[in-house]
Amino acid sequence: MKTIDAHLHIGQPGVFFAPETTPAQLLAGMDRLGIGAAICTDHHAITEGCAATLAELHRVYEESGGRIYYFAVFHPGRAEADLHAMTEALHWPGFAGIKMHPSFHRTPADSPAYAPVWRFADAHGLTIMTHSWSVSEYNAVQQLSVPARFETYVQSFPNARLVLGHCGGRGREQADAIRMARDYPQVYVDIAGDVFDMRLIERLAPIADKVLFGSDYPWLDLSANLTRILLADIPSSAKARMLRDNALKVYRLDGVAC
Amino acid sequence: MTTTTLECLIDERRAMVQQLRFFDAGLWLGPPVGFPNAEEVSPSRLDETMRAYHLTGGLVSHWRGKTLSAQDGNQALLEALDDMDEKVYAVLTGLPLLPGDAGPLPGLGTPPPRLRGVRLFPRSHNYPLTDWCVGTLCEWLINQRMPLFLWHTEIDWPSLYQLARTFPQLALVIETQVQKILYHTRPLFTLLRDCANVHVELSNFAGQGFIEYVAREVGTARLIYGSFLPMCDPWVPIGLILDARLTDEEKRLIAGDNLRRLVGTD
Repeated sequence: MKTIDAHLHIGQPGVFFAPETTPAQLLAGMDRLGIGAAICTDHHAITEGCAATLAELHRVYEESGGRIYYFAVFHPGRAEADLHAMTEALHWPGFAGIKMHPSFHRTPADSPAYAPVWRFADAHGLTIMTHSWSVSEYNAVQQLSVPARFETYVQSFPNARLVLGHCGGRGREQADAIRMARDYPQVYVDIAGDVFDMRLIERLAPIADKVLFGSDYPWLDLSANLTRILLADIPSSAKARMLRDNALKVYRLDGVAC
Repeated sequence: MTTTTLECLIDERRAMVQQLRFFDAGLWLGPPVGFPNAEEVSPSRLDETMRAYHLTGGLVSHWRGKTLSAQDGNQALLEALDDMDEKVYAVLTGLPLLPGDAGPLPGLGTPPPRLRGVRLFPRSHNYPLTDWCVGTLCEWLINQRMPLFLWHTEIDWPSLYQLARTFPQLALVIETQVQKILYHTRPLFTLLRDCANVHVELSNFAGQGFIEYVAREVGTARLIYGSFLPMCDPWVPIGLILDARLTDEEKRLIAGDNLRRLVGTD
């Protein structure tokens, strides 16, 4: 009966001061805010790929009592090792989906370097959650993750679901994320991060079946995006889908007990 | 998740919002720049929007004070203010004053009756944030008991630190727009620790546990609610305050009473 946070992180982020980052602190926050389960990416894996970290994430999942699920990060520069590790982990409990980050990995989302992971996700019916953002005047690498860059792969691998993390960011390309979620049955968006546009939740209501709550913890407080859904001017049934039901549909969350 | 459970949560939160009496440091008129999904709102529409979010009042600024000129923005804001709720006050754009400067500018002539603060845009308007350039205006603000507002994207941290130390009686409010302040929290938290006259506005002060950290390390008096409406969603910083591990009295201070005290509208 609780919320699912479908986009957060564990570990030290490195690029800013973060007073709370441990799984224990995360669980305490989840308990306080009524968040039953979460899906995390570890900062270590974003930098170095998932091969070195999946076993640790599996341990975190077990120690959390099956509440902190995890993404396996695909690093295009370490494709072979990452896919091997994902294959090994495919039947581990807690392995919820795959994470991509084209901006961080300096590899455009439409690069052929991502073909192996799309093929893998398609073959196994997995969900890819990706960083997506808008063109930025002050952060040039964000153009590597604009939503339209994912579209060819979406069309080529319809058995793989795609979640556009951060809903395409704060700029004009956000409209592409919403369009893709509306037009492709396998495409979703999450609202993790500081996409704090006024009335964004109301604008997403027509695609409420395709929207997932995420915090981006510890980049953002667990509560930052929670109240804006709870108090949004949309029907309660749409809020329930965003806060929980859609995550259960999209990710491998077998055993969610809350 | 049943809708009944949700309805209870929603009702509880709405009741808490009303009890905390939010007073907003970041209301904006004029055409937004750099926020392609935001729309300009009229003064009457801004009043309506404030009511929808249970905001009891606040400080309003005008985009043209940055994007066009301080004088044009100030003129537009003072004209718009006549049509707005009486609990809404003005933050004018300031400049380092020189002989012959045209108004309306803070520091020239009698202050408008609803003026409660000044904002500087040193980067956009091409001057350094140093005491030899803005010191006269800082002294004027101290005499008027008004705070100085600054976007973090408009300053450099060494200059701000020096200014805060040079004018310890000047209340400074660091605003968390128009980019993430997250990446600058190490200098920000150091500044808050060393300078008791520095405050932080909350519209994008959203990192995990930041509010509790500042409350614990330097006190709740340094935290100021702001929405950056209509560019940003007022529920975000409202939610951060509602869910903070603080007492209701501390939340009430952050929600509005700290700002009311700073600008003298108690």
